[in-house]
Amino acid sequence: MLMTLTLTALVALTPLQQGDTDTTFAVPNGTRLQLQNMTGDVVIGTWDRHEVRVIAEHSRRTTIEVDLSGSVLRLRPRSSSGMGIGGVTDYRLTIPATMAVDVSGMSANVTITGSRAEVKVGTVSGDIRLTGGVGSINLTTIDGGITVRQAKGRMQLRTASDQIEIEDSEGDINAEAVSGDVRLRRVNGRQIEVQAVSGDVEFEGAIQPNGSYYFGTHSGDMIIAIPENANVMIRASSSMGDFTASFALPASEQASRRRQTFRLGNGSASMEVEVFSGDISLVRPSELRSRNRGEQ
Amino acid sequence: MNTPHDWTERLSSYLDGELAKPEQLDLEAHLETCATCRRALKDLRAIIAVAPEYQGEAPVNDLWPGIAGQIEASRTVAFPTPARIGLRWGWPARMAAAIGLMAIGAGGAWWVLGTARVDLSPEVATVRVPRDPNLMFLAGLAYHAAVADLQRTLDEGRDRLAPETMATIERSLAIIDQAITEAEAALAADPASPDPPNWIAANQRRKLDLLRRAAQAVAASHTES
Repeated sequence: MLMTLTLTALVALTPLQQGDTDTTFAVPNGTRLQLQNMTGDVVIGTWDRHEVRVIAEHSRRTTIEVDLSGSVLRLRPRSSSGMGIGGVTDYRLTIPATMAVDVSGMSANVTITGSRAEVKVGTVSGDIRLTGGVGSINLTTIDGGITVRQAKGRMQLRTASDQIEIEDSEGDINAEAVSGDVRLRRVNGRQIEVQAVSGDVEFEGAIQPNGSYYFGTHSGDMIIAIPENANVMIRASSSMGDFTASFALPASEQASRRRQTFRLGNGSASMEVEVFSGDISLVRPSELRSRNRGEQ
Repeated sequence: MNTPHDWTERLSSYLDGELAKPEQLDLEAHLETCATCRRALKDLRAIIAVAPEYQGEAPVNDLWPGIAGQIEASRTVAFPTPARIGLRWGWPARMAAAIGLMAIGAGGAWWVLGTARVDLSPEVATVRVPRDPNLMFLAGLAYHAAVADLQRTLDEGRDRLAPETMATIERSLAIIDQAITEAEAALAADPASPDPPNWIAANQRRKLDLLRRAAQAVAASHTES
């Protein structure tokens, strides 16, 4: 089935400022949202209806092209002259909570709240803030920060300049920053991999039996919270930095100048912590939380 | 006793099915406890999975559909050395191929990968792959060629990105370069250490990834205008 809606006709039903768009339409269950917005912010909320509401602020010369083809709903601004893809457009959307989302843009802050579906966001410049998300979660920016809360699934997050924060989330996590810090708080995942170049790395979360955890930063510092009852084999490696723990560790099974291995409990989980020139600190979760409270 | 470096060296043979059964079992036991080797193995598998797909076909985009179409298809990766280099078709060659594939996304280079050779068409170089112990040479060569190609794309399109974004990209690249330099210095000071090569490789991958994303952003800006 191919259904194309042109919003210019629908917009006339709603009194708005010149050029702006406000429309609501039904979408079949299982529809995926694909939104391209080169410049302008995108704010997406959710509701439990099979409808999409699109509010967009844009110039008079721009229309919002809505194309519902098969199971994909595509939204993109279009210049009414037919040339180019329109100017700055700010979106506020309300979508079904179970609608998968795919947003791409050049200069766009993207905020998504209440999603219970897959989320993919790719921007060049702009912050990405996600509350919710289930399944595959793929968030990428070059010049911006990434914040994820209450997500469940397989997360892949990447930025160059700013920090990545993941809180109160469950699932496999792969997060990478260049100069920004990467902070994981109250996360629960079986496979977690965090890397930075000059940013710091911070982890506080569950360590699952047979889980696999990798934390690496070249010149940043690393602070890892190890729960009291953790069963984990920790392999710490620092080419030039220091290694400290705020609690008693068993004797290292592989003590060398640069590498140490500690078995906690039955050691069923595997954790590698690597820095090149930064420092590694192992602490208890309560210490990290109180330290973070002190910083706020 | 095996050092971490020994294990990494064996991954290629493992994937090629060249290890004797006891060695294979040893390696598999090691993989259960070593995230670094698991990661390396995963990377190699990904490379091997991708490389055979490129049998002289046109470049395939992997991120934003339509973006790479904005880039000159004629651009090629120039090898700075004579065209024929003897190499064994081991994982470093595949790594080199994968590095080339990274370049495809933004640079439009054509890498023709067969079972026994890597061509950089249309006119640049042919790398034949018989036996040679100097496996990493091609990877290093391909890395520098890919960086140069992507950097050129970025330089040519720098006016299309916001100055703040461009500044962020350049700052990030400088941070990565600094990390590579530090690891190279550490390797020069202690060639037997297993860690510096890992840091070098990880940061080279990050640099290529960032350059590729930046080049894609340049291409996307063509679409916008």
